[in-house]
Amino acid sequence: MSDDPVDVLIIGAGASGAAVAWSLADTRMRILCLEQGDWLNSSEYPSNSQDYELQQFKEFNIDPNVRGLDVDYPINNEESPISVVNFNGVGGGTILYAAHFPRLHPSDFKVKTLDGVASDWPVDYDQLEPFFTLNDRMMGVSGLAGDPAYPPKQPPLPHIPLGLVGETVARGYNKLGWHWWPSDSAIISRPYKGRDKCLNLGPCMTGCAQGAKSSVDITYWPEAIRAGVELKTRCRVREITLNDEGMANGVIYYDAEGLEQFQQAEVVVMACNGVGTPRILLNSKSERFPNGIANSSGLVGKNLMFHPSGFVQGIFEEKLDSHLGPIGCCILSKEFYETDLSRGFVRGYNMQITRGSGPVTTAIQGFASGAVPWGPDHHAGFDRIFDHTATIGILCEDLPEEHNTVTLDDTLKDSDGIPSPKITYTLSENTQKMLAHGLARGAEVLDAAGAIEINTVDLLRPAGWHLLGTARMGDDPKTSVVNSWGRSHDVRNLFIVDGSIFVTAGGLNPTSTIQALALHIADTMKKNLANLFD
Amino acid sequence: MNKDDTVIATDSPLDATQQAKLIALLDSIIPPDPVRNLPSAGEMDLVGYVTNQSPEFIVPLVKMVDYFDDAFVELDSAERHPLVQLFSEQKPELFAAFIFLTYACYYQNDHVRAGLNLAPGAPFPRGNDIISGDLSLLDEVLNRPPMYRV
Repeated sequence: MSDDPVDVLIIGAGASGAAVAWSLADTRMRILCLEQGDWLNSSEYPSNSQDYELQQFKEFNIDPNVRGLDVDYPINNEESPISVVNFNGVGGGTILYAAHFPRLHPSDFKVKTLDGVASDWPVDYDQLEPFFTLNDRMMGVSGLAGDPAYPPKQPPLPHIPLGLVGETVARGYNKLGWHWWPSDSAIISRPYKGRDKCLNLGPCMTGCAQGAKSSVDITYWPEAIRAGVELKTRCRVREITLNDEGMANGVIYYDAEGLEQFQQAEVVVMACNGVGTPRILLNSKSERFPNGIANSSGLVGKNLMFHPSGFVQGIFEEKLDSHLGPIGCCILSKEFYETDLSRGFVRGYNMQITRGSGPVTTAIQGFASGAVPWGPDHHAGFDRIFDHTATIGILCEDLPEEHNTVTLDDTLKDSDGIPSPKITYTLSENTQKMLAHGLARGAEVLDAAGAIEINTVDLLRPAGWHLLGTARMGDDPKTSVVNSWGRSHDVRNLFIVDGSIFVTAGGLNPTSTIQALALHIADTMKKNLANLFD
Repeated sequence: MNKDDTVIATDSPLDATQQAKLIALLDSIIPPDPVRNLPSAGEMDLVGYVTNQSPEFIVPLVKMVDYFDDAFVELDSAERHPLVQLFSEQKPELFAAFIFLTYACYYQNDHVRAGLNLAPGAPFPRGNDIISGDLSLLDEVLNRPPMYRV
């Protein structure tokens, strides 16, 4: 397919773009996805080589400004205490994510009704539930049924091993009488759909050489492509174009050679995450939309939400084999997830128990923290923490605030000359109280679990994984960018399916919900094909 | 400059005196651990490692080595320590970069990994076994009523 017109043009081949492509494929429409990055090859992931730990500091760094690959775009984070992290390639953020895969809770869709803050979503948990379940099957999710923090659900695969880290911290939760549960993980614990099970390599966040981590390049995309979807890599979209009737008619992009191209399309679907999507929308200026396409509400790029995070690390006398097993997937706790105003803040947070790092990372980070000094005490310092730690990450719900924004930077540009995103963000008082509460509770758990030393890292800067809210969904065109099925209020053949459309953020990893929402949107599109633009 | 100074006798960017100082410096950073048969950092080929991994650090490395007197190698470890400490305080960024490379080189070494009871080489495809976990620990949680709000 050259640049012939297509029926559906999807921008971005990450978590949501893959799910939409797969779902729409059964319509037999001509579907094309443009992705600015490349396909990844699992034989080139770091865990194939001895220097696997070091590659996280370079080409597999989570921060595009550090990674600096030609497929990345630089991001101006100077006016934000949290920096954006991402990955650009087929699979998007799922290539480097930890694969911690909880769903948003039913209450997350009703924060205005239940807690009097922000806005309710125009969809709810029950509407999304079939798509959560479908997505769990498509991705390959491991977990354990029966969690009292959720309505009943049945993960398709058994849970990921707790390991000594999980058992030890679980005993701490039990001493306090607090909730914990094995994490739902997008990592297969048994052979599944031609993929082999997790080998407990450890460094999931630099790609999975085994292919057990469910990144969408090995889950959705092979099936979508077999069903006829075309995926073009190294195509970086600059802007969406409009016809005289105010409908999107395609995009202008730069191909692998840096040449400007035009791709005509009947429907455009944005799937570039909560920073990449507003960047392109804001850069798509026209007489009709001088402030960016689909932006009559003025809300494109506003209400940016992260999940502000910190962590508490416990050092234990006994060896916990901390560096073995999926680093980000072990157990979690929802003890403080639902609102309890007596805590001094509204909404809540997830506690995500994580495992430890390999020896190189332990030593290097230990030097920075003072735990692994140089000199005669070096070996004692290293031995004290390596394989002897358990960590509790506190992932806070961030409420939408219009002053937290993604805008176009005046000077910074990517290698094709497209303006870079600029992040302007401040941490709210509510979130600060929530994080402080979570870190204190994390320390309590580790103390109860028997830690001999507990160290806290307050707000983590490179923690902008979850990019949400910058093109929110809603029923009112004045207060939202897209409707309840992702269609732009302003441009009726323009859809957004990524985390941009979240109304609120919940307090947990959003990929499961992003994908369920994308499948819901695709399903609604299919049901409305005859009158899609009415 | 005499004639011999112009002769390139080795690929190493450090001459013999500089090499000796670097080894002494590295031994101060990570001394050996005879109990577990762990080598010192001075036994690693740090110059080779830096040349391959971070060649831009060769020049700073040479400057760092030159900071120390030739007599540095004659001192015992207790005497070297305050001199290295002083350098770390005077040049914290350079020292931190040096530590990063030294630790990275050291903990990737197969002898070191063997001393730590770690398997050599890449994690994949070897993999690891970890315990599934005792799910009876969940009994108390299972007895709780539903916690979610609708």
